[in-house]
Amino acid sequence: MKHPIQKLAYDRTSKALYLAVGERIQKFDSVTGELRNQWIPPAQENREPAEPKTKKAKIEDNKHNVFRTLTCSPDGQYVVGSTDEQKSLVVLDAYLRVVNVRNFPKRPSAIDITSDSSTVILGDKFGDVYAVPICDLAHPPSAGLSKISEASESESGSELEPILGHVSMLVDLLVTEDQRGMRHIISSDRDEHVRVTKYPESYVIERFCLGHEQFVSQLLIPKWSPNTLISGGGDDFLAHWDWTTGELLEKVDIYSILYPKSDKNGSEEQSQEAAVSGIWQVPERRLVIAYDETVKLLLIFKLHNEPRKLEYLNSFSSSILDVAMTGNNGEVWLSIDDPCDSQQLIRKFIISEQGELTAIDSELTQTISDKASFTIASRDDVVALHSVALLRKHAEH
Amino acid sequence: MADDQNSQLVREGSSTPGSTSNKRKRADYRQTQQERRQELKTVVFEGNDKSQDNIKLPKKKYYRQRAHSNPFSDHLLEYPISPGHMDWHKLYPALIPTKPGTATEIVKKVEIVDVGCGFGGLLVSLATEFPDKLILGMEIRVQVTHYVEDRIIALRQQHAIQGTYNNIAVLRANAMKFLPNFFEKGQLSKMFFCFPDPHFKLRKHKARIVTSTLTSEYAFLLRPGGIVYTITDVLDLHQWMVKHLEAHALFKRLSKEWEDEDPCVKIMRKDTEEGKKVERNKGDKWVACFVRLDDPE
Repeated sequence: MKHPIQKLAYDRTSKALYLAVGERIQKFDSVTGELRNQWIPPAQENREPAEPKTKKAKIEDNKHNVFRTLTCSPDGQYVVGSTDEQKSLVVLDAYLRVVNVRNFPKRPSAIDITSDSSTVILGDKFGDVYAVPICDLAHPPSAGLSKISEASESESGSELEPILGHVSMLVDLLVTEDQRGMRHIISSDRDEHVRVTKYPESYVIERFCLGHEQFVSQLLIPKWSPNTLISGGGDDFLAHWDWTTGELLEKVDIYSILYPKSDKNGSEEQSQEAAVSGIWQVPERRLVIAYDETVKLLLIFKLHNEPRKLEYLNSFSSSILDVAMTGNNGEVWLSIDDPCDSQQLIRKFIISEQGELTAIDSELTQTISDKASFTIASRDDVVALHSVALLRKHAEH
Repeated sequence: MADDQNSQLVREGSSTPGSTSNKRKRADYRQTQQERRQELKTVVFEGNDKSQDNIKLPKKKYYRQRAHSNPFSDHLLEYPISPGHMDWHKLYPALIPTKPGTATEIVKKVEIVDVGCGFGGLLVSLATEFPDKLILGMEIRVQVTHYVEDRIIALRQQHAIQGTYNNIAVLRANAMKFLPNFFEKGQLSKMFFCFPDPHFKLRKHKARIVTSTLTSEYAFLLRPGGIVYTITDVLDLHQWMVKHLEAHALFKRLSKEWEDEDPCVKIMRKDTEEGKKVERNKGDKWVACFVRLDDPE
């Protein structure tokens, strides 16, 4: 079987589709389906035989150094991702050449890029958030490629001080910029908190958006409604905020869509819990899309401005790992994780105004699916990809 | 083999009676206190009530608990979804007469917080120093919180005529994680960090209660002009706290002269349990206070 595509990123400027597959990054022409570039981490074979370094030795096989995040810079010049095992931030240029690699003390869990494409904002498993210049003079590209697997403790990002921090695993973050150029970082954690912090004056916390009762794994600001924030995670609802005031405008029930026939207080199945692992937007349709990984259902909503309301339209059942929007005519790319059909790794749809999905360009997606990824022996060689539900807290004492 | 087992039995037999009875005594004591706490927690004691004997102050030895708690673990904590969801009536029954949402007048809000209040020495002294302010102690260790609760109940009852100690309360909480769930922006005027856990290991420094990232949260909760008080007997921790608070753009350290004149500094040196212990051992105490500056334009 083939390794599934765990992350997608679409660059509008070059109409390129970036895929994160295991520890690789691939770049496709989204029109022709041509594989333009590929980045494979440097091989390990010319390393000296592993000394008994216990914990380190395990990491060296590099098998699970998979990309967990992937995003393009707004100017289309860079693609940025973060990996699990080596806890690295990897910055590649549009030809997938290494620009900057930096290792962090804790596993990165969320990244975003400032609108001027100058800085990566990175949050980690420990709740700390760092601002990392995209082109970092301290980490020139010449050193990058050969050093990716050898980035030593000394240059492991310890010189970077966090610009803000939660005392809980940081799960998502985004950088916003309003018309006056005022910027904020919105960050969310496993302890139900959504925080709004000024940037770069990150010592000023503006407010908290409090209302969640479970982890908050996804944040979204719709392009057509810049004061709005949609957040979701382990709760039975999506929260619809005005993040500039902190007001919770509405809680949008998703439980009754995910578990339509069941009674919420029914005792039969305790495990009927929500775990929203993705929230995206289709600006040209004013749609907000959320994905629940436990039920494997894509939920499509329309966001109205007057009055401000998130209206449920439709759902689509599929095992999805990531979604990328082209911003054109309701086109969306879906990364499919179907254990029965591992040949179809990616599909393309048109979403209508009413939230209905129609598959298109099947030849193109088959071309990309054939060229994308690489063969693996079995599912055991893939790290856990649907793991957002594990963020739910189980108190000890 | 049989001998071994016998001697084992003898040893157990000889050692257990004392410890078992102590254990039972402690369990009984805790049980009684627990029941009384549930009953009296929200009682407003009237000065002319002669029906009851004075409630005795709790005995600290029954509430001992190991001194450290992991602030990162998922404790079974109760905390409100947001400050608006908090029922303060539970904690200050005499001063906040109604449950949230039912009050028509503007009710008082907590203004002074002792983060990691321990056995509550500072709280008790602050109660009479600031009779008009609501003061809250936060403590992560369950038994220690119970001790302070029982201590406050006893004090309220014993001083029912004067009506004092109605303005202090204690809450089991992880202050590193959940302060914003309890307090609004700019609600606090004073925050105390007295003899915090030093977390000596480098790896554990993020567990310290003063870090540059947490300091932003304290700045959020304190109004401009509000004060952060710190005291410790560990020089290394003192220097750490000073370094992080001084480096923060919203805090400025207050002078030695200011410290000498401030009544809270005096209370903090003399009336905290740890302060007394250090005094007995003739150790050093390091104080540093910081004022919350105005937000930048």
